[in-house]
Amino acid sequence: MRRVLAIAFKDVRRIYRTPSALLTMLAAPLILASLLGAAFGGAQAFSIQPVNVVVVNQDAGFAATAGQAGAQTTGQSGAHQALGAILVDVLRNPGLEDVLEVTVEKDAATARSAVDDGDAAVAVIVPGGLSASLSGASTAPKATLELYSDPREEIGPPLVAGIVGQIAQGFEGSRATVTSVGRWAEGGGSGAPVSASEVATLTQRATAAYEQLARTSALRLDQRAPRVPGASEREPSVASLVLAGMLVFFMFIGASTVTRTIVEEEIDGTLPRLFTTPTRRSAVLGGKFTSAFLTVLLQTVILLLAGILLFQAYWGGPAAAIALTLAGAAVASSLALLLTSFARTVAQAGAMPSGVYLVLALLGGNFVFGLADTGVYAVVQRLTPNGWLLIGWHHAMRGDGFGAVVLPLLMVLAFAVLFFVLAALRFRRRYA
Amino acid sequence: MSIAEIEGLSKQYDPPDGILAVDGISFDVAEGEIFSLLGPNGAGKSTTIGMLSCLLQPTAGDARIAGHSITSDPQGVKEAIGVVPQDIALYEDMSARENLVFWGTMYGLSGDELQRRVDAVLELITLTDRQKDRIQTYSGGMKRRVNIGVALLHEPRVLYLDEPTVGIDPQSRRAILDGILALRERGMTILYTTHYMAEAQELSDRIGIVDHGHLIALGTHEELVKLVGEQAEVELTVDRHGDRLVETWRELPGVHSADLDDEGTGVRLLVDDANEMLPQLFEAAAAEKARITSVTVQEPTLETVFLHLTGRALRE
Repeated sequence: MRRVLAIAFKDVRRIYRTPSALLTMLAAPLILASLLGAAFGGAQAFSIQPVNVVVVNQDAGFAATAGQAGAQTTGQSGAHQALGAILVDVLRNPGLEDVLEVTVEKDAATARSAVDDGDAAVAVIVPGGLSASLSGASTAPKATLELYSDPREEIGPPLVAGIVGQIAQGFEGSRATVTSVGRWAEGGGSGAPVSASEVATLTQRATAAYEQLARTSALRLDQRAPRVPGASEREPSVASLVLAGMLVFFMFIGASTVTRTIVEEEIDGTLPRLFTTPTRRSAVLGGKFTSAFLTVLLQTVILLLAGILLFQAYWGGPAAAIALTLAGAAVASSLALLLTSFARTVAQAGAMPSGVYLVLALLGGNFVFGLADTGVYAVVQRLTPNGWLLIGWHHAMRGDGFGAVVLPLLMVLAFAVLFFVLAALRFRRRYA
Repeated sequence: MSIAEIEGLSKQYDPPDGILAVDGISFDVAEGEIFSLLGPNGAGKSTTIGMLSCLLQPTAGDARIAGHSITSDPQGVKEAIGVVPQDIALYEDMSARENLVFWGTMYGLSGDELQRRVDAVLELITLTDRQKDRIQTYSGGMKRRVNIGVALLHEPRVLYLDEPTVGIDPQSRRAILDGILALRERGMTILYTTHYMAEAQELSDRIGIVDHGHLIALGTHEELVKLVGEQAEVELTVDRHGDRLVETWRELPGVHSADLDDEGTGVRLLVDDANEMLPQLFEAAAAEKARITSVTVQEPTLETVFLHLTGRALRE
């Protein structure tokens, strides 16, 4: 056993002293995961650019209804704001600043040209009679809110239309209230006729109430999604799924980096020399397997930690993660040994396993960031050791518990035993 | 008393049609002696060492090293031997000490004994002060010394040295040869292979001459030279027609062999009596209108023996 460990530690030390091996085993999976994660919408890499909105507020306010048109257009109007100003304030609300970037312009032509020039996605043009139109007076004219948008923009215009529509509905609600109150007053309340200025005052009060209520809502929205039986606790991010695929793929690559030294040592003469010492050939094979196992184990631990730090990846419970790491290292090492047993040159020992791993990765789903539960692909994936390993990791990452990874673990270990036995037979024949 | 007994050892690669690299070699090596296998490249020396190291399975025959059969008890053989391969077999990205500790572990050493043996070997190969440097930073001679040191870690009863001085500078070669003689002084049995006649002559208690897989002569240096009898070796340099002159001289009575070098101007002859033959050699050259520019006559050496036995120079 001492000789086995001596061979293993010697190889691990040599591998981790080799910059190119470290690049292949550690840097490559992280770089690839970062790139693929960004390309496929990794949570940490993805962000929405705010939509540029130009607003023109021409609203003359409620005063216009009471014969004071043009008293103020954009700002405060005494105790209460005109509706146009409220709309502008809502659009500039700090809560929307990640989504909307609002600029206020003086006139509609300037706003439209900003959209035409591509400087803004949407122009919101508030008409002069907005407040008047919603005053609740029976004689109030209709007003039109204009949304002038860039036809090439797919996200900004519907987003702004939705927000403005919500605000308009609030205004309409106020108008309906005021109108109802007016009719009640006219029809049987006090019996006294309601003047236009009184309606305007009521509207202002209703608007103020709306504004106040909007700020101090009595209702709270609590979004909840009940758990569907059999569904997972959590869904891993795309970036962490990509990293899992890369992790499994590069475990095999890492193992081959070690087992390739069998051919290198055979050519360099250190392996034949080893066979002239009292060290048994089984110990040499065991040492090579152990060195691959330890190297992949260390590589995996580093990548798992890097995944947590860089991608906020969740790898599942400790038991599942440890078991999958050990089983993965075992199957990667034994397959690498088997493939190396067919290689006669260093070039073969490098290229041939890489080709096999690439095919296995395509079949097993290393480059597909999800699992197939049914269909041909699900069957194909379950024919490969890396496919089972990925299934195990995906269950672990979804928080499915240790029970969900038992079958994948057993399958991975079965592959590991099969590969090791075949490798041992091959090497026994080769070095007889 | 023999520590190595080799009987009818043969090795054929890819039988039945493959090359017969070693064909029924038999010899004994006495405990404490330096025994050299001398022969040209491809004679079968390294294959013989490979079988005696239990690296290669013999096609026929057997050998007992320190009482252990190479066919039935290879583990026992491996514990008794130390092998210095022809090429450097070390981990270049590890230091000399790391290499020695690793190989010592492979020979079954551990703990304080391992560290003590590593220190002793580093001192023996005079690399104590460079022990922490990686092998890749060493000169060729230093690497050779570590290569030998590895095989000495477990103090083997028999040390195999397979052409350990190939491709190194004269100073390093001298150091290695002195080291081998020092090991013999300490009672170590050494099986040495070389194609350098001078090395075999200087080091060996007994020499086995190998050619084409056969052991064609065996004995001490003096015994081997006697095989040549009173013959002498004559080396001539001619200015032209070396190829024609070799043919002519070879036909002369009293000339046993004539051999032309690669440049086509140097001729080596084995003759019965140099004094008697030299005038005839000059006459033949004059007849071919060639001029002899130098003449050397020397007493028989191992080279002469090989020439005598095979009709070819050892360098071929």
